[in-house]
Amino acid sequence: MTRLLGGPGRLHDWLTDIGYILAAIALAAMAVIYCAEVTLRYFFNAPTTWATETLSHLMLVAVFLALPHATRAGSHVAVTLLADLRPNYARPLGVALNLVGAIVCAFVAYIAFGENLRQYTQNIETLGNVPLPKWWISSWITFGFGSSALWFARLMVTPAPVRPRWKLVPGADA
Amino acid sequence: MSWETTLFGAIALLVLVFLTGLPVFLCFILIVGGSVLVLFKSAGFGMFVNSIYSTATTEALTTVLMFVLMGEILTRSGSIDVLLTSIDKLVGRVRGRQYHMTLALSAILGAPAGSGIAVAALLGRSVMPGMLRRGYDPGLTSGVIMGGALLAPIIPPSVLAIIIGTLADVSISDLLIAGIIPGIVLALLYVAIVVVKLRIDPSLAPVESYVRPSRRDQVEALLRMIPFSLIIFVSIGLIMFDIATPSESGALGALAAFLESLWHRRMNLRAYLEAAGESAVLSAVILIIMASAILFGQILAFTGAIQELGKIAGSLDVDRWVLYFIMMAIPFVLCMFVDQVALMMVLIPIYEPLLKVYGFEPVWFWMLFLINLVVGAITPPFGYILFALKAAVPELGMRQVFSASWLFVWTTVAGIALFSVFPGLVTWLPAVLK
Repeated sequence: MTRLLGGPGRLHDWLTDIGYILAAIALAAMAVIYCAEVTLRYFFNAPTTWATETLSHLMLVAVFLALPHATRAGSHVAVTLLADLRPNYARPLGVALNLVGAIVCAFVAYIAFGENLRQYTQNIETLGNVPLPKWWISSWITFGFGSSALWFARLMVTPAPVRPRWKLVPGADA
Repeated sequence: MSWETTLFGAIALLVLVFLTGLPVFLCFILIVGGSVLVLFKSAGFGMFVNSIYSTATTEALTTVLMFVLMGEILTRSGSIDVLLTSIDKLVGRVRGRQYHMTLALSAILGAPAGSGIAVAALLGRSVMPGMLRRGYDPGLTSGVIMGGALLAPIIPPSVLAIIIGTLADVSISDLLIAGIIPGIVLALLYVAIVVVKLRIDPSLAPVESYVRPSRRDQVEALLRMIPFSLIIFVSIGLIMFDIATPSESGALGALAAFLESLWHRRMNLRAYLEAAGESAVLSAVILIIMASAILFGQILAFTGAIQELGKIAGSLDVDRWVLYFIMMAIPFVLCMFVDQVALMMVLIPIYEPLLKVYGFEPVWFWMLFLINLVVGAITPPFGYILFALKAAVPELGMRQVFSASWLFVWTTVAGIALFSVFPGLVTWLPAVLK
């Protein structure tokens, strides 16, 4: 499928890989912020005002950056009873399920994009000590679902999880 | 449409969609999307996205990410190998030594792994082939590994406990600490089962030559376990003594695991990035299910079905123990077919009002609910751990794995009965540490 899609397929692979790495960095940053917050609170009596909301935002960003790779690697939790009991039907069933996945994720991405636009045009900000334009955060939901929709569509044609073209080989030990 | 039709229809439809093999989060979104369209028309979809946003920015859920990160670093850093060799030196000369060693390992490994499937796969691949070569009984060996794997989601830090705590609005700290005594009691029950089985049939374990390690070796083995024990203390002790929040404790545990990994020198920058990346992926898989399942709970609440169920349950003249039995039997049976995380997302919003009506102590109830969920994972014919073990040890017959699991299923059910009759076994430690 990557070959069929050519440039756009490679771009999608690359975006998914970059998302994986940025999600890893966001998660590591969350751990660092928590440790810094405990240190500042106990040793300097100076808790930050921004840590809690930054951590919440980073969590959303990490989750939706990693979501496309989870879809590509087939890591989502599913009850595979039917395919296990009827292995002969596993392939057509897989195609049908990936089609449903592509449609549902594309639909959620579509309505999330509408919501991003509404937040942008109405200048809606996040609640907290350091308000940010809400679409800065919520647009990652659109990215996560949109890219996952593409992966579900690609997996209809390429049944095995597509390996990323990246030195890091995300999911190598998964 | 009556509330009964809405509630039971929605759950039946959801279970049906689960069974097609569609990823669980998509099943929830599909059902919720359809319901939103019927109830609110297209105007409701904005709320739908905002609810996902709200769940994915719930600060309490960062605990999941931090503990997953800690577990990933620990399992990749070489700590597990150090544990294996240390426990080997510390378990003395007993009949069926490897059975006991495997149980001790599972109890300790459960802490970093937090997942029964991971423990079953790890022990199935690392310990089981050696045991079979030495002449240990394949059935009892599989049973011991599956029983041991059950301890992982019960002994803290447990990601499942964190999820239940967040969804059921119960203190995550209390729920994590509440798992300590039940985890130890279950481990002791499994040891007792092994001892009794070997008394009845000594051929289940070979007569092994045992070279007693020197005292110095044993002390060394204990010392080698100190860094790992410190990490577990950092992550759980800080919660127990109310020094840090569960999320902060998880992050400090991850930092401690990182420092320990520097000591073992097995990980390079790429390995750290992979550990963080795989943690992010696992967290994404869990959180996306939570975000979509919370939507399902919100829709059920909006239709009034859950409130009606609460009202009806309140007016019923049913003995609370009968209701308790039914509430525990439902996850036990359904977990043979449906994923634990998916099932807990469906049942928690329904059970929550019933707990209040019948006055069940929340920490006690949810801990037993958790044990019930995990026992489903080793219950034939569809328990997840059964398949994880079979995949890890392909030469095992499925029938062999099934028959091996029953003894441990019923032992765990006996444990649940014990914790039901003596709730103090669950609630004492969190109460003392408050």
